[in-house]
Amino acid sequence: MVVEKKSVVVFYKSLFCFFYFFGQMSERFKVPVLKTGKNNILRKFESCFVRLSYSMFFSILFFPFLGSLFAGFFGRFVGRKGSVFLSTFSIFISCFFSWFFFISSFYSPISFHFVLFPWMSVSSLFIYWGFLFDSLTYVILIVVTSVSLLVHLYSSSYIENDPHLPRFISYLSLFTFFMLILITADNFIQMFVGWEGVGLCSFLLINFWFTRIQANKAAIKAIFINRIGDYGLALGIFALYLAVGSVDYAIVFSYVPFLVQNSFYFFIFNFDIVSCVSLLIFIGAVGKSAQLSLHTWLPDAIEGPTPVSALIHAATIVTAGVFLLARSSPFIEYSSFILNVITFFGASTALFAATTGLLQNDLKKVIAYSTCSQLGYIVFACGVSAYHVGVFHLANHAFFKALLFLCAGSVIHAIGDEQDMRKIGGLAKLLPFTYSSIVIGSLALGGFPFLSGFYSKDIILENAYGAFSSAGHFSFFIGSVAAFCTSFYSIRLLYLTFLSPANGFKKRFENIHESSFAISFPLVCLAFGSIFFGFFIKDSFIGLGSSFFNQSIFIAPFHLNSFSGEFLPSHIKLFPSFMAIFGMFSSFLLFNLFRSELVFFKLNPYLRFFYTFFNKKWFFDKFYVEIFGQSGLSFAFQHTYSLIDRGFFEIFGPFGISNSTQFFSISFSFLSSGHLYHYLFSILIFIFSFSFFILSPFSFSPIFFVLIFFMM
Amino acid sequence: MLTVIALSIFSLIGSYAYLQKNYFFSFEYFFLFILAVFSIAGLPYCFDFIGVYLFLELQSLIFYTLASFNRTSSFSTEAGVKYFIIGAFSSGLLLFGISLIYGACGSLNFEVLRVLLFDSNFYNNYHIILCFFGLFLIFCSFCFKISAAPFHFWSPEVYEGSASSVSFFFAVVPKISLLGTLLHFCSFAFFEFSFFWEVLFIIFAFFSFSFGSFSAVCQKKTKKFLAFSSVTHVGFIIAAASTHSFSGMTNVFFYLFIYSFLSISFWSFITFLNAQCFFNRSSFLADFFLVNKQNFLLGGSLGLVLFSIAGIPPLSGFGAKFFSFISVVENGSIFLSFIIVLFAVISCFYYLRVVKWVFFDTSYANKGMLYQCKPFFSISFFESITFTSGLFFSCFLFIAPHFFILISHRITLALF
Repeated sequence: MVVEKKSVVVFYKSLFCFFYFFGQMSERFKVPVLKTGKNNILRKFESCFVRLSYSMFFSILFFPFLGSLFAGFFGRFVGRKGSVFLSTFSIFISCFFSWFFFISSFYSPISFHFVLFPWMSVSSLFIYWGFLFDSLTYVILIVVTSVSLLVHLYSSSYIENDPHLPRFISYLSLFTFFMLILITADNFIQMFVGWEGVGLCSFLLINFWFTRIQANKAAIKAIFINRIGDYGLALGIFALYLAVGSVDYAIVFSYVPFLVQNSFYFFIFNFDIVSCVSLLIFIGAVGKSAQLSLHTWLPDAIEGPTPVSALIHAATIVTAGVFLLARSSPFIEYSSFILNVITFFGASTALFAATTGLLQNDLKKVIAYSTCSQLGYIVFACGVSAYHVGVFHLANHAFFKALLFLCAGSVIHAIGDEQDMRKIGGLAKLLPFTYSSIVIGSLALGGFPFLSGFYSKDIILENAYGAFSSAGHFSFFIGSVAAFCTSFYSIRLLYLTFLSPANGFKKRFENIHESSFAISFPLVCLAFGSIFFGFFIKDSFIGLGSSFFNQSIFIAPFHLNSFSGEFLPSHIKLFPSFMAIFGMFSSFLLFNLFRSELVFFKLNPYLRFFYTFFNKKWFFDKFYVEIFGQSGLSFAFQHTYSLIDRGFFEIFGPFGISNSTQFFSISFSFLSSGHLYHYLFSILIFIFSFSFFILSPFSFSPIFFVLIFFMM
Repeated sequence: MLTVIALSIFSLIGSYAYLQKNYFFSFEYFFLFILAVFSIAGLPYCFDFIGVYLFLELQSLIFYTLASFNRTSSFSTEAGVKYFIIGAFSSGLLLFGISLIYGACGSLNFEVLRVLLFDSNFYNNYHIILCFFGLFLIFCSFCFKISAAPFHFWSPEVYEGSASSVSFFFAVVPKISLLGTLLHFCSFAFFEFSFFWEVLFIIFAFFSFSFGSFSAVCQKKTKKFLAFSSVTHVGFIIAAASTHSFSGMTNVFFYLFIYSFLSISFWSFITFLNAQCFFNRSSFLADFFLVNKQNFLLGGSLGLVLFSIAGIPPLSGFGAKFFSFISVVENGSIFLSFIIVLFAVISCFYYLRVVKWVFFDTSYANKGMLYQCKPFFSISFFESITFTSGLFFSCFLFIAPHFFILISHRITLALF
């Protein structure tokens, strides 16, 4: 393995070059360094420190990129282990620095803003490559890099036997890089780069096993439905540029108060600027965060490898939409109507996904629907202006949802790629470690008291009730019902997979074993995160009057619901927790004691309707395919393709021109006959016709006749 | 007034043409040649129509003689006679137009005409019709000389019939002077009539595009093909002239310079291919096929020249077409610019077809032609200088065109 060692040396060399390069670049920023008198040595030391911190910031960003490049382009040379090691190590560095800044931001929540170099400058549009590091960024940074690190580690063992392991690792790192670009951008365009990049990487990762038709379909569906949301977001950015004249966060957000009550024409209709732009941005978030109506890609995306589901579809990509909402909070806050819309959508998503999750049979699909449902919670938290609570839940959710997915992966890995819960069963004694991890994850998801989900979910519901608006009350009750469903299906999943008598084939259970260290270690880390993260972080995130998110999130004073949420009556506060625990017990009792009565669900025609309705995901897919898909396809084929593209454009375009050129060239070649009188005659004809044309205004004048006479 | 620089350029080009190896030597040829250069160079200095007429007539007479210079060839004499008759016709038109203008205005001096036509009282008169008509006829005559359609019929015949060196001279040298003179009296003397002659330019440009490119598509003879392609080029040039803007006029001259260089390289290629082969090679376009196989350098440079003429982006031919197109777009003539693009595509096609013959075509029937020529033939010093300088300018003028743009700028300044 001499080659590997050599490549590792190259990698380290490039690492040091990298530090050096950014250290040099930071010289050019001319950032004011604190004056320390005439003590030259101290100043030098300080500037060294500043340089070092720049290097740390940029190494957070670019190490995943480097790792991706190494694994992707040089994977053949560094080998499987080498590429895994390099990219995992890169992510580790990035993760380490992220945690460093996250923890230091508890002590001094400062935001850093770097502008590197111009990217585009077209008339009045100036876009720079700039990076903004503030509290919101730190939070998402630690979530992304930690989960990414653990998933890198996990997948090194999980798809150990796949020949394309370096490619997979490269995609994962590239995804992380784009996600970091998304969250560290200082303007909307750069954010959009990351936004599209994660969409692309999501497509590549879902489609990693590209020989599976289901994976192809799921990947195309994911990128197609995301495209609708991206379209909305792009329109929103254009409208923003139209209204403000800039796409920089700093400029746009400080300009918003002047835009209130102004309106502009969007697609011939007159709209309020703030509402219109907020709505378009929210459409982008709906696509990425899988809210109701554009959610259908998320449950299907489980066709990708399980680490992908954990990284992308539980922890990171779906948080991009929420991040966008939180980031543009200074904008959205000025439009109460759009906030209500967001609340409504979020609450509906929570209920819809929770009810659908009740009756899914695929192990990963249940978890995917629970993701969708939790995202609904987060979004309606943003809708009632509790962005900080939303971000808090997002971080917690990333931990326990990644844990759940990774556990599911462990189960699937152990039992030989069986995902149907009805065919598993009885694993509690065989896989005790995985079982205990998934219990922790499920309890945290269900909001069991004092686990991390409990703190954030209950605060969300309190804030929703504390808004004292119809949308707030609506989302409170919907959220409570969804909490019931959530804990119900969590226990159902546990029961069917682990507690019920074994239902699978004997062969499957014979070779079953706990997974390797690389799979188990991430589970341990995430389990600790699921238990303790909420408890430790809650005071700084959602503590009353905490200054953690000092400038990064803006909550308008008239939307400040935390206070009223804090002083709600006890029975309201306890209601969601009660619902959650009630759901757990009812599920447990139902499956333990009344199992034989469950058949009744399918036999009774009325109940069977409900069963089918929830099991088929409220018929959203059927509706989309039959109404939009079919008609769109037929329209595209019959009209835009065969009539316009192959018809009109072909006849008046390439084919038409070439045919007419042949025709004209043959007919023109007759003109050059070689006879002198033909030439002269044609010249005369031209002169006569044209002179008639010139002189026609004067046709009655005698001079005309005189001229003609002379010409003859 | 065109500057002395322009004059030196003419003589330079003339001397290049002079250096071509001809296969008939006689002292009259060179005498006539220098006289022709004199007439061409003197033409832009004229400041009234009498001078224009005299210089044009001198030039035409020399050209008739040159066209029929190869006495022993019946093609050459036929070309000379045809050229003479059609040329006499156009001279008649020119004289008629000049006399009409004299009848209307009473003077032939450009300055006097300019001052007179600025007078608004003049427009109430019937004289204006005479002026219009006279200008139109002069236009027709000049378009005849620069072979713009529909007065281009002589050019393929004459190019085909006369000796290659002579047609080289016809193709390269006189156009810049003639167009300079045309633009001079249009924009100086008939400045007030710009609405009229702009339309004339557009119409002639349209005819030149369509006649030139459609005829060139199915043309099989090399020189006729080149004649038609030059008609198309003239179309591009006068489309740029139709803008009547300063940048448009500059682009006219820039295009003319690049066109001259391109023609120099292509025509010199034809002449020395003619001289080197056992029989008259290069009379058909198909004779070019697989030149690349015989002589890689020659074939490669021919390919470059053809790409440049066709207007493939990093080469100068693209720059010329692009500037011409830009000036039309800046003028706001969307329809005309659309037509320019359309015909640029068609004209691109027939050059690329030649490139295909030069490089790739193995299916052609007369493969034996390949072996009738010497596999390697030496090129003389002067020939190589002519060809490579033309090649150099035609390829790389797009990178650093400042010198020629400056010259065009100065010429345009002298026009008004």
